Amino acid sequence: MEVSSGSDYTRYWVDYFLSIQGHELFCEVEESYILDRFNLTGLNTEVEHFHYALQLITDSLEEEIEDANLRHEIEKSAVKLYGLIHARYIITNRGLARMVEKFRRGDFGKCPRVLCQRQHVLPVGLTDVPFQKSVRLYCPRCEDIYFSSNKKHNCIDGAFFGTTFPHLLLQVYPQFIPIRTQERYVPKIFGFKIHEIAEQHRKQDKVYEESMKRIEAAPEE
Amino acid sequence: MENIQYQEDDPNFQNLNDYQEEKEEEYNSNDSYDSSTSTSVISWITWYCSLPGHEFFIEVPEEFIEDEFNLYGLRTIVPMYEEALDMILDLDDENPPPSTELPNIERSAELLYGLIHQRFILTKLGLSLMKLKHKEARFGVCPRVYCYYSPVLPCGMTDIPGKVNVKLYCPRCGDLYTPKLKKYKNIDGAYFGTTFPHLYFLTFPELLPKNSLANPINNELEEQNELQENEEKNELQENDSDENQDKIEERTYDIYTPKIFGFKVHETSQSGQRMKWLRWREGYKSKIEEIKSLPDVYSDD
Repeated sequence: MEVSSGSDYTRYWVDYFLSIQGHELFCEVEESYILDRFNLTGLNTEVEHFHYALQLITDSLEEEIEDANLRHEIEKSAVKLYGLIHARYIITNRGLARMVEKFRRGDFGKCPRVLCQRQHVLPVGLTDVPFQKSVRLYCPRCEDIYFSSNKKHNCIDGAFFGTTFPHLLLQVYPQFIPIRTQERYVPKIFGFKIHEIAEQHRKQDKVYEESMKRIEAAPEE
Repeated sequence: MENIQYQEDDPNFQNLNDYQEEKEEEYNSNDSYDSSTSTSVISWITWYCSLPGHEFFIEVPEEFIEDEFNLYGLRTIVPMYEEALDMILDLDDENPPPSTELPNIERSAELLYGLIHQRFILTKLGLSLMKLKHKEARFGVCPRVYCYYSPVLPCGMTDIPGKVNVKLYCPRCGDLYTPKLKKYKNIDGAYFGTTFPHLYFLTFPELLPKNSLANPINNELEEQNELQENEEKNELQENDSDENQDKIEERTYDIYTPKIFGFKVHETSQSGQRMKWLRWREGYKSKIEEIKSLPDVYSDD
């Protein structure tokens, strides 16, 4: 990916990065957060060309880099660095506040499950190690994860959001937890239920009742 | 970042979707369909099924439509039934209807064809024609991550036309999803019917994916138990343990567990897991439970 090349070189790197199609999943990390070196602990071993990449992100790259290969590598590192900072930032108080705004607007998309009735979803990673799995979408109503319907999201790394983010967000903003019902899709042939599936559904109901009992029996906080 | 390949994200199935999109673009680039111009070259049915967004349809053979018995009761539902039927079968009328009526007839023909289609895909021939499409995953794959690209089937939520658009049924999780591409938003679900995917899997039970809702993991567990018994009898053999390991990696179904910094969210918490029952099925074991239940093969070494 060519990041910041040609005529766009003068624009702010972060603005450019966020304007790429598919990157609407990301939120803007405050510059003060990036500049606080404490927040970047450990990233210098993780990201190659750490200092150049950091300078590129904060638009303070002073020397022109002649070597095209090196520049390309720095640009790649910058994406990775920004992603990893982003993963840390969105689980801070301020980051959560920004992301919850995007969640309310539905920037992350909607759940493909029919019975979830276009519930807004949240991005989630399957692992916190970068470059393993791309980003997935977590639906708080059915508590399941889905592939994005936007093809562009398939090349966004899941580690840039992390495994923790959606669940922490719902803990901090419990008012966004949707009402979860016992509604389900019942397959029918000419109006008749299917034996094998109905049997599984009855067993699922048992699991549901047991878990409800456990939850009710739990001491209140 | 684009040159990083996520193996899991790039199976052939997704290419199929891309292929469909490309095809759509092709269609969009030559804007020359008009049902009125295509009469002589290709039949109405072929033309209709080749429209963008109509990839889910199969071509109903004319013999099926010509049999009045198969159309029983449709006359009362479809306005301008005769004209619509003539249009579908490409029959030239001696006194053609006025051109102002054409849009209405076209709409009726679409409705009539959809309803015939709903009936046809429940017949033996229709089911086997749909099987060819399903095997190539032409209807797409389940968007749920832990269904591991299980091919889906089109399904309606009601048999009454004009109510709900087409949905996709995943046999593995037994749930309905909205199609990914926008062009399918205008396809009526009634043209496929509520019965089709379920009758399909009753007809071809061998096509049910492993660990599907109607065919849960039980068999595998039994096999494992057998394996365990054999191991106890024959003492440990290295081959067996290898097989066991393969089995763990070969998971075809899973349930997502919300975690915060690697710790499970407790179920009594407000944001805890309340919907696990929805994805649960007989014989389901989480990865940890499965590893715990394995025979302790390495302790003797």
